[in-house]
Amino acid sequence: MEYSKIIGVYDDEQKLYDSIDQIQEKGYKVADVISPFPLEELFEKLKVNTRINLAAFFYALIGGVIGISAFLYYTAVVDYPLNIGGKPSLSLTFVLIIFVGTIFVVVFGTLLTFFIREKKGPGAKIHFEYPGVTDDKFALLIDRTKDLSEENIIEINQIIKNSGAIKVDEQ
Amino acid sequence: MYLKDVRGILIQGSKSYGQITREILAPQERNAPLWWYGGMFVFSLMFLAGIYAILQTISKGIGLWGLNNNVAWGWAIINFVWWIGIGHAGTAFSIFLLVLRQKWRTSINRAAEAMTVFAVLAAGLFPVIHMGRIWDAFFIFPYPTSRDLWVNYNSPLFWDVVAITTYLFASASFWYVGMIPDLATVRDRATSKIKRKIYHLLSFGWVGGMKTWKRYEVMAIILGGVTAPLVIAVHSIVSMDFATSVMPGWHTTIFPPYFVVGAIFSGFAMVLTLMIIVRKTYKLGDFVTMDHFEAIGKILIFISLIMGSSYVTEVFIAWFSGVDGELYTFFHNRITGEYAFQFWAMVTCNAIIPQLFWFKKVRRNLTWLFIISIVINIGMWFERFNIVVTSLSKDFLPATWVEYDPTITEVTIYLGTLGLFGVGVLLFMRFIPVMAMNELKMINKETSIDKDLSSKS
Repeated sequence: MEYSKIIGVYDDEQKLYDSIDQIQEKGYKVADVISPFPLEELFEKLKVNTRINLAAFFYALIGGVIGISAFLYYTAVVDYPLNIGGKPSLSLTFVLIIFVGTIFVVVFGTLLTFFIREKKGPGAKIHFEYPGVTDDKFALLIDRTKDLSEENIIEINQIIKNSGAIKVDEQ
Repeated sequence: MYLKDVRGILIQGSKSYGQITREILAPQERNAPLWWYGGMFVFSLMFLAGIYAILQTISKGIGLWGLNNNVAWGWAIINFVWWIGIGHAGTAFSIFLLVLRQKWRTSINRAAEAMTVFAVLAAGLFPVIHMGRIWDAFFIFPYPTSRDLWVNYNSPLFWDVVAITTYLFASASFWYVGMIPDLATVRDRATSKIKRKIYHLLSFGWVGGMKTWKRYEVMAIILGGVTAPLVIAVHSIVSMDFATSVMPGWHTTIFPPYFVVGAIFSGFAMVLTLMIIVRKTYKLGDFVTMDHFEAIGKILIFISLIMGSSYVTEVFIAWFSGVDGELYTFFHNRITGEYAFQFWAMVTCNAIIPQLFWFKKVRRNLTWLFIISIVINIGMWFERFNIVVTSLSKDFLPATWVEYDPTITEVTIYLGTLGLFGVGVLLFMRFIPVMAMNELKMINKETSIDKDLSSKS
């Protein structure tokens, strides 16, 4: 059977960090780390980044501030201005609705972006399963690409074992 | 950097990650205890009674309530504001402490957010029923109609609709998204096929890869960041339902901050009540330590002082204004009049009794904490009664002065919402991890005694 991933299983994050340092020093690429909670140190080590914050900003700007303001202006000033006690149709109270409406758009948009980008949803396929990775184990994943020779794989296995992994596995 | 010497130990007993999972999930992996069934039975009965009263109201009309021409807002609005207030602290608690990077939130935030969702659901019922013809409730949304007419954007009641809908959506999302990694843990530990399938569905196919966690963390901060001002906005808007009208006792600029603080006050008290129950019944004393309760106790003293100052300020401004209506409402109607009991109950429960938290012994005694947390919520209910009923029953025109008493239908609807809240909380306690396990694991090492936990499992 062809295996596509080398998996190093750890029960301590410090050992995992050391192992990643060594693997990266040797010039190998770490595909991912699966952990039961976020490991902020690894975000830097694995150069993981996201633009979800930028997306949220644009939702706020376009959907919230511009979209809702335009809607309020059109309905209350252009389409059917109501005379309420002689107060101006273009009212400062719009700010309140724009403020809260913008929050709604940001929350909705950000959630949607997250779930679409992550391909997650009710009953979505679990793309990687290994006992304990949602409990107390950390799984270090390395792709077995064609560039890796047998010697390379032996070396990676060695590094993982020596760095204190409780198990080296393949999937 | 977390300073244990200053802040105390947040997770007792030098636990390994596996232990955290096992201990938090233990109550759910056992059969439900007898008290759970008992509680479900009682709360379900209350809920059903409430549904019956709501159906009666819808089929026969608001005439079944004790409202009259003057007191047009009775228990329904009192309870609406009361529930919304309780619903505030969950998110306030969770989000403010997240934004301020307070690590002690991790043991409590899940329950606080759950409480928020059920409380806001209970709150939202009241204005909807109050409309009378609830089948026309959609009139409140701005949508193109054959009448060509849009809604009145200057009305605080419309702001309410926008704010509460947004708040319910945002807090429910924040709560659910926070749960997904823990639901995946339950999924992976499930022993029966059906349980695994259900939690697979609920956990959205979660696997905690680094990219996923990064996006997840950024999303949590964004949701928290935008929802924090929303908490302030929502209750300010609720207060404007009152403050923008010209009733004596309502038309005052202190209302928005006064309502926001009051909401956080009652919500924190409810969090306290709930966490004491969770700690006691699920034996989770290692995660919810006395330091957690002490921290909440200290916050409650501070908020109680603000509440006391607000009461004094209101009375002072009424006197200082020299307006007859204001003077009458405060000095005759509230302080010495027919509603004096409600006024003094409010002052005693909210401004005086919580001062007991100045004593460390009280702050660290579960019985006292439990009693005071209940007292605060009773006091906050009286506050809303004071605001709604005393101002409306005796306004500027003595000829229209009238008494207000709730009818059995109103009381039953209120009991029904208590039932809804109770059923929701019990279901939460049974089927969802009551604490955010992934967040507890994250802070475990730096906030517990033993640095090297790797050897234990």
